[in-house]
Amino acid sequence: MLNQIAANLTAIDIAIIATYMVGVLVIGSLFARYVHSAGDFFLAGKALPFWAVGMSIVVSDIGATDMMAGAGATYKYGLAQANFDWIGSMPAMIIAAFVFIPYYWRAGVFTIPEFLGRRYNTAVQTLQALIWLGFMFSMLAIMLWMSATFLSDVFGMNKITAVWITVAIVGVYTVSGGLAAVVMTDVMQMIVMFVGAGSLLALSLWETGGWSGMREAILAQGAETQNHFTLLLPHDTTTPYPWTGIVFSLGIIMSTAYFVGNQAVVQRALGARSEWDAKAGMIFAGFLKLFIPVLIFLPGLAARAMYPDLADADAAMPRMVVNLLPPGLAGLMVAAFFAALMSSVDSFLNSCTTIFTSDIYAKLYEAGSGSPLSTRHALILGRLLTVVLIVATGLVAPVIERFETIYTAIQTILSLFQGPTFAILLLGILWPRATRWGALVGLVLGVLMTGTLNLIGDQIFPSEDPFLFVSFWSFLFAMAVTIVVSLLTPREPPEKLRGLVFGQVLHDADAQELLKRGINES
Amino acid sequence: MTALTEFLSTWLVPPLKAFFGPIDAWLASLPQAMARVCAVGLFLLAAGWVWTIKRDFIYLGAPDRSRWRDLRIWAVLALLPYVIIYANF
Repeated sequence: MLNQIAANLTAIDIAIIATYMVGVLVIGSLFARYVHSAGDFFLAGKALPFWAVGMSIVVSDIGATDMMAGAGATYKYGLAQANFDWIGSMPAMIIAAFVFIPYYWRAGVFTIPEFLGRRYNTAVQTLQALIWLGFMFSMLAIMLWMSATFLSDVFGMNKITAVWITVAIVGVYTVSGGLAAVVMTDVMQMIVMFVGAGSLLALSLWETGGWSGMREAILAQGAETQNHFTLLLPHDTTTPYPWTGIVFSLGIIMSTAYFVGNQAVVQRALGARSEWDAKAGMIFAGFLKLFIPVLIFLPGLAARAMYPDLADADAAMPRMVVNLLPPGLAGLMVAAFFAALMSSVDSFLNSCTTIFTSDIYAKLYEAGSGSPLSTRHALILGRLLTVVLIVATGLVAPVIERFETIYTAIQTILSLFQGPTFAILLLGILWPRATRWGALVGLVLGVLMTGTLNLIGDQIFPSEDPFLFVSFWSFLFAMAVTIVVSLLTPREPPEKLRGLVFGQVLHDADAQELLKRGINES
Repeated sequence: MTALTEFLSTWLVPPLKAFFGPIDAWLASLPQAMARVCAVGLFLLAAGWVWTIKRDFIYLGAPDRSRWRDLRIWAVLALLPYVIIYANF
């Protein structure tokens, strides 16, 4: 399908795409002049305004997976797909804004594993860091390969060449400008995405006779589409989206786990210029999330009305682009696809580097040399690692082709450790009695339980792809294990907990002072 | 992987089914209207909860205490469209 888009691109489209790519490269590279320390590189010198934080969180969260597979899933299952950006975002972002972000902020950490390391111990920190590195590395490879497939189809180039073109563009500005470059290019990418997807949405609705025309056409297609305009599907639905899983697992557990435990999301908030901006950025992102299903998934629904017999649902979005968008807008939409891809690639790249530097290398360096990693050393390492990582993922990307359904693969990887991580994060902040051994055992057994349920979940739960139920139960399991093991092991010393558990972070000035000293000394 | 799945299916599926089966049956028996009540309730709960947070905490780090910087108002305004959507779809 994508090669059909390429066949329809005009000189204006090519010019728009080229301008977009050069623009991203130039804007991103401009931020190199502001990077003088590790703090500048990893946390944008803590200078980001709330609107940039919010826009960056949203656009980083939308990869091409959401644009293509999201529209495809909407074509197949209907509006229920929108739950991932609606109930699966906003309540969690409110909790993240008012509970978790202030904790991270005041603990002065770079990464979530670092926070867990302070609260529990190095083993929990290292395990978390390794899990995140594995996830982000595979995500990077997946996104690079998708980008390559897209570039290859649009411009008719070899896929391997396309991988390296993406690596070069994203690598240059991420290496030179760090988080500031990533966030500011994200802002630009979000505008491009909203304009491009907005144009497609407007033309889609025009072609289908507006909302009512589209609704009539879809409902007339028979029993299969009767729930296409229902957000909350019955518990015993055969789709992957039963309402019980959507509300209790996605709405409460999975989404909160994602927004409070995802390094790529939290790192933006930690780069804000004030605690208020960090919280406001998260709420603003929650508001912007409202528009994602409208802009990206509704064209998938319109495709269902216009082309009810597509063999591959993921072809819905490309079909709409080819058939509806005039010259110029088609180029903008292609740029929007690239924006979605690049914003996710640069975000994961930056976060991956941050975790490796802060949670793995810094620990090893300190253990070996006896002195902490200097900020200059961390900056050089951060840049070097960015290069190494993007080259490594570029090499691995072709293997990703084996994944049958990329979107499901990502959800599966996420669900494997999201629930257990959230369990130990939540207990670590809210329950002073939670111990390092409780967290470690809870995390390990929780991940094992998730893996087990992933293998046999279809024999236990009603849904055909029960990842929502798997996450919910693995969260509860990890929580129970953490509580039991914590109660069986010695309490953490009170001085270790100061400033890291509920109440103290917000109200204890001495604890804040202690934390500040700890940060400066380390 | 197939051998592992077979092993788990043999030894773990029966007890887990016995545990999850009644829960699943109970959830399936809930009326569909409960879905909307729970979803809208979740958003309303979040909107109500933010008003239990102290003003001092809300404004921490803000350059001034103007009304528009009250993040509780932001939260309610951001949640409102979601309530409308879930109440109607």
